[in-house]
Amino acid sequence: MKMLKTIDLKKIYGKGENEVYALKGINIEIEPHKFTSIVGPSGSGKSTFLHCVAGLDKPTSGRVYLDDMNIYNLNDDQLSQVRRQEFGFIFQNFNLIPVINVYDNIILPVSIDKKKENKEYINNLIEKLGLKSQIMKFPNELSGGQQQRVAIARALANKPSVIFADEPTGNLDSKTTAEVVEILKMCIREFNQTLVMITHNEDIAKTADRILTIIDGKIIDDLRNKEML
Amino acid sequence: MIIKLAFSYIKKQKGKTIPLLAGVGLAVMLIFSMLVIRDSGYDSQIREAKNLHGDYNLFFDDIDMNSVEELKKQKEVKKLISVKYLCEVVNTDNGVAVDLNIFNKDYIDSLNYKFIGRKPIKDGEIVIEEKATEQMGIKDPLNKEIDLMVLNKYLDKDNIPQIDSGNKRFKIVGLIQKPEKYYESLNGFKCQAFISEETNLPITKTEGTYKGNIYLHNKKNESTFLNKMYKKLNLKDYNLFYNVEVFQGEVYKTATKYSAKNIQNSIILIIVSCLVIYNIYNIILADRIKQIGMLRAVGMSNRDIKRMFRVSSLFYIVFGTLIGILAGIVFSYIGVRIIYGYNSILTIEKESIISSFLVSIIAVSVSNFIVVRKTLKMSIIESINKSDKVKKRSKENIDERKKMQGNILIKFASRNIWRNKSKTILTITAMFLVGAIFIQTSVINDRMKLTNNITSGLKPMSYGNVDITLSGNYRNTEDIFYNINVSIIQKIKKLNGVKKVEPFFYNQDSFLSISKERVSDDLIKELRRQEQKYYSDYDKEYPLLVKGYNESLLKNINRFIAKGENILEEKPGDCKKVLLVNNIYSRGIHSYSTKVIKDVNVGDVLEIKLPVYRDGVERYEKFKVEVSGIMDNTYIATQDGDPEFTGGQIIFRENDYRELTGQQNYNKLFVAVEDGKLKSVEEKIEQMVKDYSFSSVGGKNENKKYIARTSEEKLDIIYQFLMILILSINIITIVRSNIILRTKELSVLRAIGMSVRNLKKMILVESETYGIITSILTAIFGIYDYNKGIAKINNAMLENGYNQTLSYGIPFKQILIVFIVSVVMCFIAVYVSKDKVEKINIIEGISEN
Repeated sequence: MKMLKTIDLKKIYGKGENEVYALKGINIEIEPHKFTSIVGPSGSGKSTFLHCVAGLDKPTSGRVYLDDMNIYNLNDDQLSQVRRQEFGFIFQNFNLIPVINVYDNIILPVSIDKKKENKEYINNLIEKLGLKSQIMKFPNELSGGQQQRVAIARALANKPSVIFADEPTGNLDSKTTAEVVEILKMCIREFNQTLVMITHNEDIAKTADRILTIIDGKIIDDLRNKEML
Repeated sequence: MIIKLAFSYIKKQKGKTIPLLAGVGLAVMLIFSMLVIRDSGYDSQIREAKNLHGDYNLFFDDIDMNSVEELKKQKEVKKLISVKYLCEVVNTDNGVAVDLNIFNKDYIDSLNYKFIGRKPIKDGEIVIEEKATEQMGIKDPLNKEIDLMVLNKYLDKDNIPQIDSGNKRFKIVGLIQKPEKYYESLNGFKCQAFISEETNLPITKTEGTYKGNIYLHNKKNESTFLNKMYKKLNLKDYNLFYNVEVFQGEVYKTATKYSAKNIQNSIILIIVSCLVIYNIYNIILADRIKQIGMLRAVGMSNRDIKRMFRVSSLFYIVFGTLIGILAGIVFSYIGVRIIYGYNSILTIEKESIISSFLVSIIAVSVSNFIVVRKTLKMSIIESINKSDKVKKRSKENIDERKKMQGNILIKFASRNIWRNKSKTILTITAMFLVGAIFIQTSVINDRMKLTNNITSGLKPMSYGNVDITLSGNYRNTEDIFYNINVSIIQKIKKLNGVKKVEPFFYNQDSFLSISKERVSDDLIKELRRQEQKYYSDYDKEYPLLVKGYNESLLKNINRFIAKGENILEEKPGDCKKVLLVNNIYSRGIHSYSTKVIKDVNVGDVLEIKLPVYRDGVERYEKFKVEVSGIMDNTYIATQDGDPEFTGGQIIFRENDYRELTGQQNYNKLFVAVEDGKLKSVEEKIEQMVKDYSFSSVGGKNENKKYIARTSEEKLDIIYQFLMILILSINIITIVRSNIILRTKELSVLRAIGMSVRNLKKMILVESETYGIITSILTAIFGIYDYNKGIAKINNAMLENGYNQTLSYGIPFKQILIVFIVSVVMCFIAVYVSKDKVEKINIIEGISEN
């Protein structure tokens, strides 16, 4: 199991007078096989933190370790491989590829890896996410909830160690929100993965094993849910 | 407000304005340059012709003073310069022959000669063309003395050709010069010399006719004036004609400018330019749809929106065209220099400017109309939410196997190519049109060369086992004095690749004296068809080609003797024995069966008239000869290379020829070469004799020399370069815009784990797909067009009596070139756009709407 850790993570935007400190030195260890939620007001640096940890945005300073590996010491090919194989990212706006169908969207990380997909695993994933009848459709033919499920399936296709979710239910109705959250939790249980999720939804946050509160680029609260633990 | 808004978009969105202006500018540059280079080229050639030959409108020759005076009086004539032609002067050591005229500085100037020295004042002084003295081997000719034979060939009162000659020593007091290019003209030239009126010539009579230049008030009257004077003064077309070199340039300009091929190419280029502008416009203004939606949402009417776009369209049309024209002027200037290689002034006709504006007006207006119309049809919300999202429909009952198979990059590429069908089709169409023009033009040249190998065989085929000939120049050498001496023969024998060298005697100025009744009507018809000025009325004497062969050459033609026997040995008798060629090639009926003498047999005695050189003068003398053998009709078609002489031929034994004519030195040479050595030996011989007596090297290659790379071919290359340039810009814009419009999608792929390298590969595959599709379409077209042309040519050749035809085939070379250029162009487009891929910020990209 892979441990995700940050050391003195800083992210500064702009220069000189226009400098904005999005992250002011975050030190954290994300526990494996657990659901960690990140909360905080708008503009607090939650998304910036998630992007830096997920290898999507290079921090200004500080380090991000996956086990012993500082991911920002890797070259583009290596880091891309980490993003494909170790991480799965779920966006608020789904961000499916419009020109390929559902099935192709799901196995996209595997295809980029030039591997043959594990059909049994993928079919199981599709079944669990209720997408069996949608696999030949294109993203524009799906509802928001269906698209988010496809995005989840895509994030899981390569059996990553860590799943990052940036407000995955932000654009969904309450019923679908609940379904999506359940699916994500089920995946942690069944596939032994780590989930790090940004959410504004208190109800969702409360169901996490750990709640990190980020305000003004710093973690000001780190609550562990004793019940979940 | 509308105008202000329109200009705000133009000013603030420089990232879009500049590519649009560049797109329009480039398309305009393409059309403008194409037209200007072509017009400038033709005009440069015409100007060069005028510089080399004079800028007069018409030339008259061989007319009397009364006719000159009549011409002068005509209201259309602005200026007339005439000179009195006397006869020729010939250097008897080498045969160089020059026209002799009475000195007239105006005439010399009107032909753009450069004059050095002074005019001839006294008897015996001469001004002569420097090139002629070079060919005579005279170094530093000014103020040197030179012995020349004064030679007059004329028709006597009975219309019989006569020769009068005498010798005179001249002092060269002046030289006239022309640039070397003048002497390379395909129309030939005749060197000139001038003496004073006081000069006494050692002949009984001179021609005393007049030649000169006419300048008209209005060039457009040339043709009408000519026809008028033909009738009024009973002149022939060899008496009064256009300034040939200039006329040819002008005719060529008109013929090619308004030829079907040129018009077709121009239309295709306009279409390609319009497609490119439309594509660029469409791509660049894709996001304007959203803006239009927002403007409508805040209350702007459709009419105002259309007006706003009309204002910006006008801006792009005017400034894009001006930029294009300016760039076109620079490019055209460079292009003309490259193609035509001499100082050229650009010819910018109003047609070029009109066409340029036409292209930009059509393209921008159509693009604008389509974009605006498409947008205004949408609902306001639809246009605000517009993105490059794909509206794809899944198909029912898709086979399970048709899931993600094959390479992902190729799969993405093929999907993305067709996500915007209209853009893809337009791009491929534009690329295809360019490829098609290239193939069409290129295969025409190849087919022409193949055809010439067969149809130009009239002359080359007629040489038989002779490969190269060396002789004097038809206009500038007097046959009987052209001297192929032992030194030249030895030098040629020693050349690498030469198998055999055979010198012989040759004279085209002989005549057959025979009554009209005995001559075939077809010969008379053929002679009349030519209407040459020194020929008689053909009722007593008929042109005759006379040759004097050694034993080897006589043996070589033994197989062609149809009746009688060869003349290998001297036989006793009153007359010299000869071989007779009694047929000609008739152009009228395309046949070698046209007889010269209706009825002639072995043993018949014929009377011939030969130019002889005796007692220091050249004159005609008559001889009787006995026909020993009559050659088969196939002789002139397949051996010794004289199929086009319109008259019979007599072949002597060389000693007999020498004896009769007094000519001691050979004046023509046959050379046989080893396989594959024709061109190299020919070039060496040309180099050897280039300064000797206007020598002429002929043979199997002679027609191919004139299929030189024309400026039209070079122009085609420039067109293709321009088209490739604009297509490259089109592809680059499309590739870059594909990246910009799909930034979010590409960022997602990066987020999921696609490396920059793979992303670039994916875009490269997409781009190359354009190139490959185009290549395939162009190949199909090329094969069809090539073979369609072959079929047409074969039909024409069969109708004209040729047995040999061209084979059908595949223009591999052209298809390969199109393929390589397409692929390279698409690769460059991706390479130039790689910064867009490398600089993708994953988060910023994903955050885009």
